[in-house]
Amino acid sequence: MTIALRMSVSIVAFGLAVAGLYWFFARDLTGTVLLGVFGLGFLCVFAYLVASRKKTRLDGDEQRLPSELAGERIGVFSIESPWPVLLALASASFLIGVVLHPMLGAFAFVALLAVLWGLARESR
Amino acid sequence: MIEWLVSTNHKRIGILYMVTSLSFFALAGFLADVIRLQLSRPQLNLIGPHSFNQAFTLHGTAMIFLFIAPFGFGLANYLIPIHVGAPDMAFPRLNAFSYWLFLLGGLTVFSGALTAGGAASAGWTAYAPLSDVQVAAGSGQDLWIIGLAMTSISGILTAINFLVTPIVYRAPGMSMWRMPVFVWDMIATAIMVLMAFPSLTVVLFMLLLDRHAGAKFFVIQGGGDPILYQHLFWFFGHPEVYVMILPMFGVVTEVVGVFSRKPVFGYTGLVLSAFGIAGLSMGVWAHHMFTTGAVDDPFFSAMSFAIAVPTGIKFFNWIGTMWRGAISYETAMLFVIGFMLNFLIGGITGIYVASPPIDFHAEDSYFLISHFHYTLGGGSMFAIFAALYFWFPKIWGRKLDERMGRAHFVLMFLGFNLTFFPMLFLGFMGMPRRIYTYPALPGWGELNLLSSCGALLITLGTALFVWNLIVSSRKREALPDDPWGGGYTLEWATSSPPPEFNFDFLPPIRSKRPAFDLHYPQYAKDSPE
Repeated sequence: MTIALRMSVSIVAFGLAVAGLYWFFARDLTGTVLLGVFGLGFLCVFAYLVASRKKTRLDGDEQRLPSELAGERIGVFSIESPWPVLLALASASFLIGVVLHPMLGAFAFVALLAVLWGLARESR
Repeated sequence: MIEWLVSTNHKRIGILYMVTSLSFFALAGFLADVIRLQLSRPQLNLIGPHSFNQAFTLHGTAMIFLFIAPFGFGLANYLIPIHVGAPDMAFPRLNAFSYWLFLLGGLTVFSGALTAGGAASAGWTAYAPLSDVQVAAGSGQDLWIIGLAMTSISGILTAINFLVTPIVYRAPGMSMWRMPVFVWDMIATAIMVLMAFPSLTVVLFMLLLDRHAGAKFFVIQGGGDPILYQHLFWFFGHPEVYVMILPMFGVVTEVVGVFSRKPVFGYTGLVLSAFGIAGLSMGVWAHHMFTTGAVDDPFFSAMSFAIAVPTGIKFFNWIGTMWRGAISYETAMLFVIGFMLNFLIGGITGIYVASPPIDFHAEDSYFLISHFHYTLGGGSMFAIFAALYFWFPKIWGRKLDERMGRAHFVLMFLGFNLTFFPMLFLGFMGMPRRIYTYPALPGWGELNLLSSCGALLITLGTALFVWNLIVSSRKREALPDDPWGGGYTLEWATSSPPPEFNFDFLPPIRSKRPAFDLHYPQYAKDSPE
């Protein structure tokens, strides 16, 4: 956790420092905004890490051996699901349809909603 | 068949990514052969200029967006959970969705070839105004834009998994500083993807709006600016170079350690340099725009020179690992050595073009083509083959034939250098890129012919590799957990191929080398590190 925090702080600092340096040398708004967003984006990650710091316990930082931790539940991993491939098909059809064939886009939009509903049901 | 369609298992998704990206590599390679055939002699007219433009556009697009980066994603999908001792990726369904979106995106890009106006032809960068609706009117360009947007979104979703899984799902004992360098490199890659790919997605949608909704983002007459396109594209485009190369740095690190029979030299330096590269790569995008006259050349030149430092650190660490090691020259190691030699040429020519006075001369010439093929082809592609030879036994449970592998390496190494070394001279002689034919100027015909012969050798080498895959995958052999002997990371502590959730028994993780500690307890250090 501490390493993740340190990584985020370093990236935020680096992004903002380079943005400042770039503005000082180039006075170019586009590049400064892009670099600033790079730094500020990670500010959100940093804020999240600080907020969740107390309640986060990571197995990797455990020094006990796996055998001593037997029986602990680490999460649920789905083995298969039809929804990812269907969601990809619906998303691709929607994007292509919107630009090239509005009718296909409309059908794909309905399909997209149906797939999202199915995915949400499965996730419950 | 159905079980592959609905699978959310990270190993299957990793294999799908790798097989798909290799299929796109075959397509892109075929297009490269068409290009080299057309350019083999002066004033040839085997294919017309429009077909030539489509060929180099699809070749570049497929190699960059659909082969090198996705192969790295596939390998990472397969390895990251095993490397950190997890049963799967943090978000398995998101992972599956990313893959299918990538596949459909790639097919959408290529589907443009079936439209009336043909496929996209504005180059893999699709600069405005070349990609504007007035110049590229056909729906092939639209399909290219939509397809790439899909692969871009897919990359962002994949990066979330690459970032969350090693941070949250590490097995007990696998502290961050015990993770394999490959995993660290993928974390740095994921950060770059999360920062850079949205820029690509945005610029592609802006281009679509320009083409179909009357927006004028990149149209000068409407108050827009084509240079804005270049800024947004290269803010993605340069980190993308490192998105393609950093996973391969990870591959090289793992292979060098195992075949030098030595622990990796300078673990901390290798990790920190990955983050140095990732950070600096975000601030060098406009070195692709020196000649526009619209950017601060000294700033971007200095940043581009600086990125050579962390890259050099990695290089020295690999040499340090090999130094006085008991090196064994299996095919994977040969490809890694080939990678180092080729990438060195790519890196040094990169320092040339990071200098604006030289870049003004080399811009849009064959020198540039040679430079980036040495980094991405001679670099990433060689590392991809190293990865395939190294991890094929783990993934498939069979070793690839070493004799055929060595012949494959020789053909690839000779072919690659025969193709791209003459291009350095062609570039300085003034041959511009993206021309479908050229006049019979002194030296141009001979150097181009050499280059085309080299492409033929690469094709032969690749065909031999495919034959090796077919023959070796049919072999009947039972491989041990660690077929190379002396593997360090956790994949060598489980069966070949691994079980559904990766481990029947997870070994104690007391150091950076849990598999080595398991197989050679007599050499395991007493105190944990």
